[in-house]
Amino acid sequence: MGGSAPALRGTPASGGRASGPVFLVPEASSGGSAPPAAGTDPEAVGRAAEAAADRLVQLARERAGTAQSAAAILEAQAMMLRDPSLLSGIRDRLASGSSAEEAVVGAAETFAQQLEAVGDEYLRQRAADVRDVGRLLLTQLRGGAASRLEGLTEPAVVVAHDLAPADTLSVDPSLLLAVVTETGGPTSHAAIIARELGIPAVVRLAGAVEAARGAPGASVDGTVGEVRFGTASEVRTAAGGRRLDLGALPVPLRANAGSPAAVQAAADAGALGVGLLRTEFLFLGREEPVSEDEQAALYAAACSAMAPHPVVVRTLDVGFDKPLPYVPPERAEPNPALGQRGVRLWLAHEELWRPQVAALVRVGAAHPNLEVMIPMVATRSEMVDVGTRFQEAAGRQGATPPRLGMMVELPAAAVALDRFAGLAAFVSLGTNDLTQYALGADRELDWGVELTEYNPGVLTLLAGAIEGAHRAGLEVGVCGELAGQPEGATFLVGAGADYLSMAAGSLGPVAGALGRRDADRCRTAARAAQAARDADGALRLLREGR
Amino acid sequence: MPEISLKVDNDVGLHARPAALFVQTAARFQDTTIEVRNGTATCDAKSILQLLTLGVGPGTVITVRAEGGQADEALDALRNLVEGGFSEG
Repeated sequence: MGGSAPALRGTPASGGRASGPVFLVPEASSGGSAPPAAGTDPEAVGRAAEAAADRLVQLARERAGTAQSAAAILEAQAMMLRDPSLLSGIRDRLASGSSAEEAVVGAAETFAQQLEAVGDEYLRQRAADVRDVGRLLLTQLRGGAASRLEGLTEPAVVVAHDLAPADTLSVDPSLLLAVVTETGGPTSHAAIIARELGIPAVVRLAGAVEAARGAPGASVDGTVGEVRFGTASEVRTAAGGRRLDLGALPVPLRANAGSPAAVQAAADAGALGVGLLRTEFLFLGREEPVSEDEQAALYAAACSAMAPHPVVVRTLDVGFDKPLPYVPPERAEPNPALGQRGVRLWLAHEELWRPQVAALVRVGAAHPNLEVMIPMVATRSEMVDVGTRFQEAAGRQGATPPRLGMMVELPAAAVALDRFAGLAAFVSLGTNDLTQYALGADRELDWGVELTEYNPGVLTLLAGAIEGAHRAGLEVGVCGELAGQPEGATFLVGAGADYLSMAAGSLGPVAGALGRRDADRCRTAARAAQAARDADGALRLLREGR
Repeated sequence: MPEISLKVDNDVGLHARPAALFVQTAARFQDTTIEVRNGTATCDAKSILQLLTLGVGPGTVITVRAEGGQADEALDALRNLVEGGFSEG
């Protein structure tokens, strides 16, 4: 009723918009009901500090791959928990009769004030760390090692007076639609971590906790720093999840999708296009081929949802691990991974390519953002064949064929992309298959890091493919899993990729990683990674981003 | 009690990552007491909190003293760290 609540203004800390139900973070229990258990035993303080430090180090390890700054913050806090002078400060206070709470908070506060007294921004953040560490230690001493976000089980806008990195990082980032705190600043840990994870955040918002009490939902704009707490009905209509602000990155980030609904979700999340729309969903689990009309309706829906950003539709990619019941293999295949699949199978079956080509031409005529990508291309003649079929269909409809590209999954194509100039307008690196074929190792078998994309030979192959495609005037995208990993994205941007496309859930972390590295730093890191001795070394260089 | 002087010749001084590496290195020598002096102020080399407030900026010369079973080894390790520009393992 009564219209929407006025917007509250805080300090913008991490860009993007989100709305959803409110989760109010409980304050770290401060004394009150539960008396400190073994709190006054000096031995127990050391054990509790060690246990809390172990937990932080464990969390840091889990997050090292995706949230490096966050992991570094946790490690620094673990080091403070093990600081002999903090522990002796606590023990001295206990010996002179302080309660556990007084001793821990008092010792932490003394150090915090000494750090703040230096008057340097970096040390002010360390002061916040010592206070966090005091709270963590106190919780541990009371036997409650659990995170304050333990009750967060559904995606929500998280509101707190203050939020320790260990709290934020203890939950799946997809549950954090947005973060709002009363304390902190744009360089505080809450802000750094939110940016790294791609979560919209507003900090230093006075009265946020009070306003959130009783408000079932909220919408947050982390770019301008506005928060609106709303009624239940407003929340239900606005429970749209989170929208990223991907404008300022070195390359556009697109999403991979497997259905028109996923395209809509990607558009809502802020993706700047779909770099891979799989069409297998239309064909698998059915008894007969899908009609041109049915296909056209779905492609058009996807293009409308994402307009004006591009939607790259991949033609049917079946065979091998995705067999179609009505298209049995023409001959026995002892090794289906090397058999009739992708474009080979599609071109051989008129009942597959004809309606799909016609539908794509029709939708492309009405939706200029539609692009088409052909999977598993090995040879020039395959692309000549494909191009002819699109030209013929376009001629029949009196239309222009859509922009045509090829997926690069085979090493022989990757090193000879100049041969495809004039036949394709763009290429998209399918790094999953390209890596498998380059290393002869099935990725499902998990061979360890040396047989992954980060193998320097594979990185060199990828960089060479990007360079060769550019020399031939082809646009280069990447739609394999490598694009969705912060280290991989750093490499690919550095190697010159024009756009990256990834699972929608990876957009936030990748945006966070790329937001901290300009194109120059990515280039230096990409060159160094190719020259690394092994995949382990390459990964390290890409993590450090230098 | 052995003692060495070290010039902290990096961009940030004994702050952030270099400070953490310094403390981690010192903490490896459990039976050894290690003290860092900057001007008139001294601190425990194994305490990150004390080291940060010691205010060792870039270009500062600090004195490190060690006492105990591995005093010489500890000083060597810290010298290698600081003079090696705090490069990691």
